[in-house]
Amino acid sequence: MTIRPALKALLSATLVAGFATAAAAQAPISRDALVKAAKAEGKLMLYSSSGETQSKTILSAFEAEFGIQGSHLRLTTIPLIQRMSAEIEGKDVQADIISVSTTVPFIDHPDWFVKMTKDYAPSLANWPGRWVSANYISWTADNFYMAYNTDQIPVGQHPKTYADLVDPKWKGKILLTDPRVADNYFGWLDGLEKAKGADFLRKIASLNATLTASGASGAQMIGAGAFAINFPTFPDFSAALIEKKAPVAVFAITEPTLVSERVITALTGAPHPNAARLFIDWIVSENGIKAACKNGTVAVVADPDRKYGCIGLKDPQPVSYILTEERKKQLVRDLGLSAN
Amino acid sequence: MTDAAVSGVKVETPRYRAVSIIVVLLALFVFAAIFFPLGVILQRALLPNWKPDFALWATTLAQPELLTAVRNTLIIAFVNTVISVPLGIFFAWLVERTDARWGALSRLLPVIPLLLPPVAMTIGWLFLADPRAGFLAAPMQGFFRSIGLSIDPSSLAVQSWGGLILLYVLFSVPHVYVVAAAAFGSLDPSLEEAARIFGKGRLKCFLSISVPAIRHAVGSSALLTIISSFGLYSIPALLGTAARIDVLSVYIYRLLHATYPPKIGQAVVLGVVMIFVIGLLWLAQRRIASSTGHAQIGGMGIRPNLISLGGWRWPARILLLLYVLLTSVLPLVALFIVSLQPFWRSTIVFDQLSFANFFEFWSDRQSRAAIVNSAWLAVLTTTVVVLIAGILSIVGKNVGGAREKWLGVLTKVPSAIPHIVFAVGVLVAFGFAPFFLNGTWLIIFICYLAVYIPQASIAAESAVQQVGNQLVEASRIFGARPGRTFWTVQLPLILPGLAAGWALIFTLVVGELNAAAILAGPRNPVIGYLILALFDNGTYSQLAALGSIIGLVSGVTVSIALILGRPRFSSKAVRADD
Repeated sequence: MTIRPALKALLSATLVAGFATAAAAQAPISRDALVKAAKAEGKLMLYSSSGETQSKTILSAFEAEFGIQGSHLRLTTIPLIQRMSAEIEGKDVQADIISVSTTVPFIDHPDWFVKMTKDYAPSLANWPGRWVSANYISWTADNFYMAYNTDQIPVGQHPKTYADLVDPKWKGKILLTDPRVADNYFGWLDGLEKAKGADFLRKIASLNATLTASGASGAQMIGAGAFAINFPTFPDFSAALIEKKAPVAVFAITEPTLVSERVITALTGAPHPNAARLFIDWIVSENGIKAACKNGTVAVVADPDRKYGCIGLKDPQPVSYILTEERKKQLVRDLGLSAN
Repeated sequence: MTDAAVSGVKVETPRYRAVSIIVVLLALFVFAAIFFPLGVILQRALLPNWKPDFALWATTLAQPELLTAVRNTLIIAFVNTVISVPLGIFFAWLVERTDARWGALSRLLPVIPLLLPPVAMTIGWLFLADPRAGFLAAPMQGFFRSIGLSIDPSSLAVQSWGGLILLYVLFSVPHVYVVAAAAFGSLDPSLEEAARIFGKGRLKCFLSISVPAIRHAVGSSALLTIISSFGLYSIPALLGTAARIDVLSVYIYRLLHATYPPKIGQAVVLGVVMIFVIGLLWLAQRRIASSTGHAQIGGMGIRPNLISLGGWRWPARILLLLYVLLTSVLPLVALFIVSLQPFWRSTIVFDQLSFANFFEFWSDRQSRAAIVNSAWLAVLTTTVVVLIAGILSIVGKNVGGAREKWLGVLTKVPSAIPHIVFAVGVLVAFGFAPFFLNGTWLIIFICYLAVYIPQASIAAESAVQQVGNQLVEASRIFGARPGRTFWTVQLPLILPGLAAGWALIFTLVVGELNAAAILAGPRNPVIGYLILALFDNGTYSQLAALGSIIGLVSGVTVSIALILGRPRFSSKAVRADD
């Protein structure tokens, strides 16, 4: 499966040429010319930390519309960024598009990513301005949810707010997703503490909840009836269970409404720069938003009124992903956990 | 036959030189695969801008939570070793040296837990022993109620210190067993027979003759157990997190996965500390094992007699069966039942059982490719790594002294580095110019070769140390060149030990997750990539189906390896009282 050195050298030269043309790729181009150039490339690689079903649905819709075959690599955020970083540093970029739940790499390495301008993607003109940054787009803003077992808690009688969740009647029935496993859960903890105070975190600690290592394993435990409630989580983790008619339902917890921001952008050294540009233009267009919301599990920030079938969120306030180490330690200690 | 040959002086023939060059090249290849990626990572993490960063060491080692994680890890490693090593050796002795065994089947029974990747084994136990949703939860609570005991379900939780230790032991016993069984299988039985003739009881014979005779295997299996206690992630992540028991592997995982940028520097610092600890343990194990004599395969013909257990024969068999039933059959059945369910539930609804999860895999092109390709990759990687480890162990034994020690320590280095960190090093070192291996099978092969050389060399060293010098010297005296001596004398004798190592590493490669996360992808999918995808975003039923498939593939492959690798003479073993 190795490629001969001569061919590799040729590919490297092509890659260098690709970087050189990156600036040209920012220049305005007619829609027809872009589609033609993207179709000539014929392929698109998406690196995404979102659910497998979500990525497959979007890439299928993109392929159906433009005949460009999409493939994707699905990993959790940090391994995905580690891999992308190594490929960029090794000048062998594989990804055209990346979508993750953190903004830090886009701030640390702005040169790795394409500038998100209307010249680059004309459909950005219709995207809410507050969700467009220099080199990425805030794509979805997903509420933090709770998953609950419908055999143990009838639909409608479940807790709705954070205050409901700390009712002592739930003691021993709650499965808490370990917030130390990802940046967005740390952000959730930070947002909750800012809104309700450190004492509220201590109230959660007093429930003596069992911990689960991830939202995915939490959803399975809820489906099996091991616990009544799991939070914080995201609907993606329960989607397959709900589809298979497991006794699981999800509910967006309110007061406060905390959301996790997912961003998307194209890479400057993308192997298929035109397909990447077309994809970004498409994903922020009406058809792209409809495709993203086809499964009904995400809230695209450009559809607060559910016009395209998304989970509508009015004026969502994303949690912060940039916290100091000391802040993180204090938060998890307030929650009664060791601070690693 | 020349005088030089008779006196054991090396004959510098062209073929001898060719073999020497091949061995040196092989060693260079292995050490390049280990130390080039490691060097890349060490430089980046510990010597940013080529200057030492002492603050990083201070920050890493001053974390109070690290102390808790280290303390818990040491407790687990100690208890696990104390339980697993005697249990695994006892089972190996029963099967290999006594008439408690019956046919080839009994050789395979204790290794059944080995057939599942740790993540599948752990969720199998969760299906079985979760206090609220496990298949055993309701019957056990009903039983306790029927005898008038009111027991809180959570006190029986598998998510506890007890459950954690149980799972570590289940994972470790087969590792100990295969190494010890290979040693017992190759052991010259004359000492045991002499002891029995002079009236020593069975237990005394086991404790004072059989176990000391395989001292190297005991030490090797203890080292393997300690290393796996340090490195296992799935078990403490799923069960330890719920019980709020933090261990080192989960601590390191969080350093690498929880936040961006990942704290690779801190993870590498901990890896370097672990390299020293494991190196010291290895040297200590060698010193203890060599401090007194141990039995070796001698030059005489061997026709081992099995020790007759008399009235204890059937109780011993029942003990073996009970162990297998409780530790392997029940969780495997639980796993298989859940794989037939649309989702994990504690009650079995028969009309909802189907093979849908299996068909789902088979209908997905990438999943199919991952399973088939992983099997081939595992066979290839395992065979090469075990052969290399075997050759290096023989070379080490021949050169002896400090060079042997260095060879031993250097081949253990990767066991201290988290796979994901090592995989990043491999990607940076070999993925791009001038090698351009990113997205190929070769890069996964190189990574697995490096990360599994410690386990392979531990198994191989144990097998090599068990082989005496008489036959090798006889071969040399009769003029055989080193290559021929290796192929016709040494290799057949160490084959059982190598086969045991092969079986161990095959199962580890098939279920490997963290290196796969960095090196596999749509162009080179492997099973680990599928497991991760399902673990992060699928259902446990799908994961159980994948676990069952892996169990089947591993079961067939490991059985073939252990049967093909059994000592040739053992098939003619007879009972001592026959």
